[in-house]
Amino acid sequence: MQYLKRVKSRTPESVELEFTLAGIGSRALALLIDYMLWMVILMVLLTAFAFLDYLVAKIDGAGKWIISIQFLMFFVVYIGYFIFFETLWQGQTPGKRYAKIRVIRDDGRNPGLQQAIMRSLLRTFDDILSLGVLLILFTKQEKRLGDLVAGTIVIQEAQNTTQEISIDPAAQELADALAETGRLAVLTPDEFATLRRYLQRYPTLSKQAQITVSNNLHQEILAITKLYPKTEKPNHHLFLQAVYLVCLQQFGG
Amino acid sequence: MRKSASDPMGTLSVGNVINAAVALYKSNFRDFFALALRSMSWVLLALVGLVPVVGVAIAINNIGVTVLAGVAWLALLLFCSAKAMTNRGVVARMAYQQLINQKETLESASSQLANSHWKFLGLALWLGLFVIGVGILSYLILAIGVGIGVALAMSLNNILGYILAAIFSIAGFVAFLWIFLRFYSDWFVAELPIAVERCPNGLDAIGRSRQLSAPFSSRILMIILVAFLIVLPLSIVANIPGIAGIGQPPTSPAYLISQAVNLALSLLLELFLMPFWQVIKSVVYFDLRSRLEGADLKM
Repeated sequence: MQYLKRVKSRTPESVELEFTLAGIGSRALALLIDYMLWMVILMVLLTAFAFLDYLVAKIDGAGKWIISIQFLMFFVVYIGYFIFFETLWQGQTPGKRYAKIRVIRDDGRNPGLQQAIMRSLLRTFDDILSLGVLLILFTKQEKRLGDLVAGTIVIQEAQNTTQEISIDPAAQELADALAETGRLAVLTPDEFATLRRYLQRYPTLSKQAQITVSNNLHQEILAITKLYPKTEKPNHHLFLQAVYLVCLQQFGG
Repeated sequence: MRKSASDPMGTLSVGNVINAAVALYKSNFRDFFALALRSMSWVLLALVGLVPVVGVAIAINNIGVTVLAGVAWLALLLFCSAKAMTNRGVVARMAYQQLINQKETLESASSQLANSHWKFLGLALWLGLFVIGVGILSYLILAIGVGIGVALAMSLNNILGYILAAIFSIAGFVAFLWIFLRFYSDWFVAELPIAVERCPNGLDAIGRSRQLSAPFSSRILMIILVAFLIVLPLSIVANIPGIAGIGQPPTSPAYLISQAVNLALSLLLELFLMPFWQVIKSVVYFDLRSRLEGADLKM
């Protein structure tokens, strides 16, 4: 099922781009990380101020100045955290980077200072009574107040699926033999994708699952391709690696 | 490479577990809300059943009759709880079946679990026992940590003693929290084996849940934390009337009204949140099975 919303946006050059929206889960995760980091920064700041106050308490007249400067700095960090990162890190904050999401403008460009400031100033209103959460949940483009005003959306970064696949050297020989039969041509790109995901995730499967899944996939491929196993005790995993190598030729990486 | 039209779900990130759950909940809202209503009705029935029991006990004023009425109510409570939990299980089942592309209607999912009442009840009783056990264990560790700390502070009676006391107390608290959260995440999806896998009993379901969850405790806790963060503001709103009533004399109308409104809001919120949590459990279960068992790796 389609569990993530997708949006199309048109760049100033009239190029149409499609993005996957971040979704409430990834955005809440990013916020959690950011708020924790933000709190640490504010705590450090407060501790430093307290120390400073202690040092300057003896100087007459300095107190008021120090307090005003502290208020100002506190406000700058409070509002500035998100502005600073979203502007400098191309729409990302540490939390967003962790959650693999980023802010972009409606037309696909990176947000500028103006957008970052509006998003940051309206964040407080979005936090009141979880207005932002409700807006993200129930609007088409998942825009909270800050996004609506700034003209931004939050999207998922393209997933990097080029995970290492380790292939047994012995698989090549089997692959050559399989390619000669010509039977593997019936496999579809979907089936190839399943095979690739299997090989990517094979190392993290439980021992029992490694046996059953490789056996099942082997049987399924035999049924689809009408190949017959040559040996009594075939090595399922090796067979699947060989099929993968053949398909790689067929479909490309 | 030619890109496949349907992008089958692989393993999910923490954020996308919740995104998937939200999407599932939204697209099945009607059914899930109906199930939440049924589930809550069973709980309310058990509470209403208390009225005649207390009435009989007071009217007849006989110890034997009172005990008998109490036993009858306990039986009613267990039955109603089992029914309520089964409805929660149906929500989880319907969500899971959609994740594996074998969608079921409310009726067929309910009939699949029609005979699982006692398994769900058994699961709840076992979990209750385990929670008590883990609770005692973790409090004991906390007490030992704080105890050693205090003993050190008193015997040394200097700054070092206080620092050591703080360290031992904090260590005890961290261990306490770690044990509790660790077990909580291990049991988080324990309903699912009964709801979707015909697991024979509650104890086996707990074992299965632990087996799948143990390697991913921190991930599961992160998911729970983020989901909690999303619904936290709503819970705060629901509890505002109750907080407003604090300070009023307990028999005053203002206090009683504030508590009644608080209760009504909490029940209403529970109606909306029960399916949310159940669906999250389903997605977590689906994701764990994909990660560990490659359940999604099919041609």
